[in-house]
Amino acid sequence: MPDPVGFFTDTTVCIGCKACQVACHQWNDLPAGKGKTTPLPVLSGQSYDNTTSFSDVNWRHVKFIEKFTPDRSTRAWLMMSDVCKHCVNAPCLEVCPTGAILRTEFDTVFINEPTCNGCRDCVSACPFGVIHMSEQRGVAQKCTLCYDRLKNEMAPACAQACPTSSIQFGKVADLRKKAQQRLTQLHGQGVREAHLYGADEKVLGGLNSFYLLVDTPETYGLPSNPKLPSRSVIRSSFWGICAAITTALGMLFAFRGRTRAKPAGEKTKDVAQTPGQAQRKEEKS
Amino acid sequence: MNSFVHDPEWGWWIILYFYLGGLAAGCYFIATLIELFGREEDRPLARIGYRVAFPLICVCAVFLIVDLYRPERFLHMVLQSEHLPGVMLKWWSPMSIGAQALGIFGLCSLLSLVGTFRPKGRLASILDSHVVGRVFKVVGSIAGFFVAAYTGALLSATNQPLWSSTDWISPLFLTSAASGGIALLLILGGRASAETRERLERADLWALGLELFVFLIFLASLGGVLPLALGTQDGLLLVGGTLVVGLVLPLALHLRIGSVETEIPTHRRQSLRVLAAALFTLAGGFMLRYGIVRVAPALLHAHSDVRPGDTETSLWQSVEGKVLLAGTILLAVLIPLILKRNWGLTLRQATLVGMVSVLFTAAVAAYVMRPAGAEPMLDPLSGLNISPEDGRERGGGAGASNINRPHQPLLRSKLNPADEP
Repeated sequence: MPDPVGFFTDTTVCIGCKACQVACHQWNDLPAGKGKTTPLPVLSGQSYDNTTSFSDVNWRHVKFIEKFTPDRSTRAWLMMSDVCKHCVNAPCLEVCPTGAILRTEFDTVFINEPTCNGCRDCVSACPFGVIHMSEQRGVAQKCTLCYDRLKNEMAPACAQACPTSSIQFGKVADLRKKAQQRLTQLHGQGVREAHLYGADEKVLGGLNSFYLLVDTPETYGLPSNPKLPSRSVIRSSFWGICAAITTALGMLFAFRGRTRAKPAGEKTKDVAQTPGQAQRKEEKS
Repeated sequence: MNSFVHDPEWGWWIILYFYLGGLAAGCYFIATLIELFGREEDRPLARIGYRVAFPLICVCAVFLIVDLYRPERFLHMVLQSEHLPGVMLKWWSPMSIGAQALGIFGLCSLLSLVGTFRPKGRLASILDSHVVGRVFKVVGSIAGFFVAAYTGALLSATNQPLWSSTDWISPLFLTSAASGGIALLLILGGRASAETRERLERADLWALGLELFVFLIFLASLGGVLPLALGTQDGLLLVGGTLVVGLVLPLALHLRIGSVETEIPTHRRQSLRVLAAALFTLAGGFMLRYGIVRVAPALLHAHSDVRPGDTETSLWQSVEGKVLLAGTILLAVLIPLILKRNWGLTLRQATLVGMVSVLFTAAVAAYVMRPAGAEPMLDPLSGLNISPEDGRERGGGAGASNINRPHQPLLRSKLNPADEP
């Protein structure tokens, strides 16, 4: 079994050139638009970030995070090339009801297209909004970490294209050492806010694609504490079973208890009276 | 609330499945419970339930298949497409186990349906026999309960806003299925005797009361997400529609609150009252499903700038939290009193109902007062690690993907063009 591999993305050296996005599109033959309805890419018109999010044809997304003070006197851009995290405890893989989402021998997460039937459970489970459905192929789509290239001992296209080594590919153990060295260097240079996201086991058991950030994860559009879907199943089931037992007990009381209604066919003026009135009347008599 | 997720775009097919599937399951488990606990004269009602359940669940199966992007591959959820004819089951995934449960439920409801058409037939006599019949009814009611509740667990087992904030959608859907199933039987069982109808109405009162308190706990369990949800139209429909149309109005009608003398004959008035209560219950059940399914994308759309930390506030700090707690306390006091007055409960029975109300109120209060960022209630249960993916070590094998793995996954590759489909 090969060693687990992944990406270490150092956001401090990302220049937002989008070479990674282009390389990903080219290698994976991803079209520019989203199918018959939108054959051409739609530009956001608000930012250099033209794709604005992941999609079925954008497996990488270079984020331009614009930090302006209200009076715009201070401004800063944070840039980050985002991608599937290939989580060690992957929510999408966990919930997939067809077994289409696989763990590869490289410890990455891969969608086997012939098995996927397009139920979108993985889309709802992914805490990073990575997986999208393809109109054209009718299946879930996301970064494969260039599984075909890995099998042929090649680096993923995006990492190879990155001109600043913001995206580094390698064995996860080696990448973690590199990331730690870079973090120490930045802290030494006074960038105290620099920190690693996903390098340790805190986020979903660790992310095989992890990041060096200089602001909160939320600023970069990353959740601090994503959850594994199965964690809620036992709790939901417990309350569900309690509700089922209480409902069954209610039916037992309702159908076993005495009724106040008169037997069918008996003519009386009091048919419409409430059970309470009926009881009081009985008590009087 | 995690607003960085992508909307799975579960739309009308799923909403209709949640609603009609809930009704089918509700009708079925109410019917089995009537057969298990009821009297001989109540059995026609059970037959109606069986006759409703199977057609409804067949329609639901069609909805589920149509909703898939690749409907022709629906069997991949039931059988291992890579290793036929292996059964596809990931018991830690609600959608996977739900697909299997739907099959079992379909089979149970089909057998029950066939039994109703030939009451003197061989199948009916087997299903009515003491041991086999009882086991079948217990299995059937469990399957019904499961189908009614698993959809709620499925929504909670995601990372979507609101759905993943609470563990109470599953019990809420189950109680709503019970009240909806009874409402449908009240409408369709017009020829039943007055005594049977009264027993059914009493069962509806219980189901609605239970649903009301579960709904209030569900709202409280949302924490800081509740005020945000109320800021969307779908959230308002979910809370207002379910509470007023689906719960308060039918409860008021069943409890005969504000009934006045009119020219309409009393038996006709009773029928209209029960019919109105049942229709309101059914409408409220739909609003509940519609609201819950649509509120998550509405929150994503309206609050894309909300950061996860922003919703980690105690509900008690908001007006909505205070109103919720005050309303729950008011209901907990009023319900036993109204029941005693209008349904002639003895003092002992009213005290029992009061104690149950206090218990539910305490649960609502515990959720409302929960400090910001607190772990979910029953959090120790999360450590049971039912999934092989949970706690899996890096590089340590297939994890949750060991089922239905192909020998060679299909690569889209320029290196080996022959691999392309």
